[in-house]
Amino acid sequence: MSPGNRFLGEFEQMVLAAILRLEDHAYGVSIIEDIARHAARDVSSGALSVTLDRMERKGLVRSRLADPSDGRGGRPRRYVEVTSQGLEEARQSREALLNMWRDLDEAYEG
Amino acid sequence: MSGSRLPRWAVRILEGVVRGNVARAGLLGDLEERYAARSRGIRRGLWLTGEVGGVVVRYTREQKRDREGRRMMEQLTQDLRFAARNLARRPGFASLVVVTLALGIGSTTAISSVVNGLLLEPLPYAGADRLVLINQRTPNGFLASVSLPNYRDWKDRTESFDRFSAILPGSARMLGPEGSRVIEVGWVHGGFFETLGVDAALGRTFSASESEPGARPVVVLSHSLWLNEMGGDPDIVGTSIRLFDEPWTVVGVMPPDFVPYGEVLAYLPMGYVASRIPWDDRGTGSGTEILARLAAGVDVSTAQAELLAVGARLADEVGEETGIGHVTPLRRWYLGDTERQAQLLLAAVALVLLVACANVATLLLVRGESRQGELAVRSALGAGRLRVVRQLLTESLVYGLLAWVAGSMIGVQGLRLLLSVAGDHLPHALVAGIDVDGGVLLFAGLVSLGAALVAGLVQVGLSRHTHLADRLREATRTVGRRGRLRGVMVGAEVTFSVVLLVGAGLLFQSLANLQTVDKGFDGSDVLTLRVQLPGSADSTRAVWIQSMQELREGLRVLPGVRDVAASNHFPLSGNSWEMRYRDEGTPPGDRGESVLLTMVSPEYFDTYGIEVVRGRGFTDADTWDDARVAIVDGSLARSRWPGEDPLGRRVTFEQTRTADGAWEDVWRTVVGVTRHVRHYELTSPSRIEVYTPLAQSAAWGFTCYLSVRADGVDPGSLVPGIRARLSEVAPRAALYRIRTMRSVLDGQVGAQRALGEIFGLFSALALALGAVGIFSVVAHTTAQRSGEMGVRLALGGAPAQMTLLMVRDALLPVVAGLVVGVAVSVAMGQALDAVLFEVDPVEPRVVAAATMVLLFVSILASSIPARAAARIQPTEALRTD
Repeated sequence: MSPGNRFLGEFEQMVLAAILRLEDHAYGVSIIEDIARHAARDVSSGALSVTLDRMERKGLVRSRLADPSDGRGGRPRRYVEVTSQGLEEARQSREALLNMWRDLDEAYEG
Repeated sequence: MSGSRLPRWAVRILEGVVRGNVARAGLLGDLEERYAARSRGIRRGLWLTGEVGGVVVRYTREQKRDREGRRMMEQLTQDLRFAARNLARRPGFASLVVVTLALGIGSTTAISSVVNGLLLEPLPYAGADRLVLINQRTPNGFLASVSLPNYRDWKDRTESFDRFSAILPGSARMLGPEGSRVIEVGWVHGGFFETLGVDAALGRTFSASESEPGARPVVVLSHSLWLNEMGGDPDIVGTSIRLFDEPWTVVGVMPPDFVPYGEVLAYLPMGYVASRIPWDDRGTGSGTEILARLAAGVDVSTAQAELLAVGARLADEVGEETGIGHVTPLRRWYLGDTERQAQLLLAAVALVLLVACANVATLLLVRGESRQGELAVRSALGAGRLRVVRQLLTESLVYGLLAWVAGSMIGVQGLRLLLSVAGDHLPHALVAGIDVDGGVLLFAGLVSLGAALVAGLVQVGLSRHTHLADRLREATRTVGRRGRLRGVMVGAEVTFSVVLLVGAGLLFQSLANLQTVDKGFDGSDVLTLRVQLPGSADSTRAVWIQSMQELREGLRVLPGVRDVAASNHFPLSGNSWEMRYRDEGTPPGDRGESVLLTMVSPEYFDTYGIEVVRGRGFTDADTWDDARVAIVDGSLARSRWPGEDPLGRRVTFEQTRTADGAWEDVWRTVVGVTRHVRHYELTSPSRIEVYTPLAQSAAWGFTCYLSVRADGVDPGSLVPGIRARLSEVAPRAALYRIRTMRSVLDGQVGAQRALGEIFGLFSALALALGAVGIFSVVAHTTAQRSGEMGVRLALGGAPAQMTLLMVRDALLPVVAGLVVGVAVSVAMGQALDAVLFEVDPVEPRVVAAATMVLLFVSILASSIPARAAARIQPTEALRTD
């Protein structure tokens, strides 16, 4: 499948949006918090980790370990950033959704 | 900060479950961070348990999915590699399977592509299903061309048609850069192009008034004439070309796929020649045919009914029968007999595909049985049942796919071959629509893949209950159920083969009958050519007769020429002049019956070997100034004067104008009787034929045929000499339609021969495949029974007896297949009846011959492996068990 016609899943879109918003500070806990704040959705660390693994395999994100810190029992953070391919697919998915909802705003903004 | 750290059990579980350092470190860190942020207590414990549980479930699921995907890919590669290895290990068997299926796919593709092109491909005209051709059924039942007054009246008085136009085929002398030649032209009237709904590719077609009497000399060119003779000149419109020694203005060029009527190369307005064609003669079928477009919502039968009613009204007004319009859908008219032949071919090729599938199934079954031991061992060594199934199916698929590729190539080449061989016998207007049919290719491929898969599944069925010991023991024994299955397959192959063989036999018998039919003439050494002499306004009958005579005499002196005859048409020429015949016994007021009028020079009867059974032929003494004479054929003599002497009878079938302009019958005296000649087609007697001397013909100035009988040389070899001689004696004469009578006759039987040859080829193919099937089954069975053979031989059994035993067993399904096949052939014989000539569709000799051939081949195919098996040494045979 070419990136041009792949449509990202809902959760993948949320994760990508959070990473983009967090810029250099995107790692597991901050992403979970961002999604909770903006989408009022509880995300488990396991679900996020599996999804990040899958998105990394698909080339949408890339991750690195850094900052072993005390607050984490001396364990490092897994920082993630969106690749250019991930950005492109996020853009297409967003447009597709917006297009679908355009003209329906009135009915649903009530 | 103990108590804020993750408990050890959680860390252990997470470390065990999450693969990948980055993910594991990141996840553990995240959980540490979130755990530490929560206040102590039972809720934090519950939360952690939920999180860890979630990780376990998600990661296990993810890893399982990955593993399965990888394993499936690995197994598929393994299966494919295994199948390829198996194929390579038995290249003979593999090629047999692939070639068999490929032949089935290829022949199906080629034949069905032709049939689809002919029967289904839309004609290149808008709304082509509403186009019809209209002829005229004469009062005495013949289908003939339409007289022009009838055409005009039908056009004016019917409402079933949106468009109603006419075309009159003819020929024209055209002066080109390489001298003059004669081309086929169509004189059209009444919106011919609009009826077909096709506009000119360059310029325009005729305007409504342009085809009426008084039309200017304007011409619309066919694409091929424009391309081949005018070099595709884009500025041709508005220039003029020379036809009939006059300049004609080109107004348009038609598109390349516009070939609606024979090989017409140029379209001319009929009105331009209104004074020279029977424009107002209702009694003469001028050669005109009507092309019309049905109005929306009107079907053929409604239009036909309206033409009947109009014909009846016209008859009342005119005071005599006027003939009735006969409607034929355009495609049906193009197809003629081809439609039925096409359907027969389709049926034949379907049988070939079935034989191929049955044969492959047989081969795979036999092979599968010999592999039971191998499969049992593999199962015992741990290959899962599903795995074995998949391997067998993969193998079948590989066979099917290879065959598909090879079959497509055979199909494409086969179609090319078929068109080059049979293209001439197919309707000109429809050949353009023939191309390799993707749908057919797909269908044939799916059928063969299906056959391979089914055979694979049956093998799977055989490998059920795989207990190693049983299977190993069974692997060398015959088991009744499987034996029956093989038997059914072989029987099916035999059945299909019989049907094909019988069909081929009937067609060949029919072809033989056609070639030996008593046609009443012998044209084997004759060359025919049409010659057009330049006409001039001041020409007279005497001049015309004189030049015809000079032509004949000029050619007769050529070496290798025995006779030269001139005539208005010749047997099977496709041309005919029909007149109304009356004699002294015809009641007054009776318009008489339609007869074929042949105007001939005296040499005609000798040239064609037409026997004059009574009286005399014509001589040079039968000139215009002598008493009018006629020769009639035996069928007329028998029907008009049974038991009496026809010589001296007076007959009439022409009229001539008297000095005061009135029409008057021309009465002739019968001076001879000939044998009946089949003029229209070989398959049926013609209407009654009468002959007059060319020199005494009421009509004159028409384009004549010359028939040259060769004297011990190939008639085709006379052409250059004739051309050279003609340029001396008649430099302005144009020769065209040069054909040997042999090729004319071939054209008559060509379609029948092509059909027979394809059926013959298919039955040979089916026979060969059937033989292979029988051979492989017998070879397999004998191998299985080698132990039994060893015991019998050791106990003193004779090898010949063993062979007999095995052949007998092998022939049981063959005989069953034969019985069914013969029954099916008899039931289907009626389908062939319409294309057969003087052959009974259940001709016992043909059925018997087909049966014998199949039996013989079956015995041969089974006795070879059986004899080999019976010659084995007992010790050797027993050792294999």
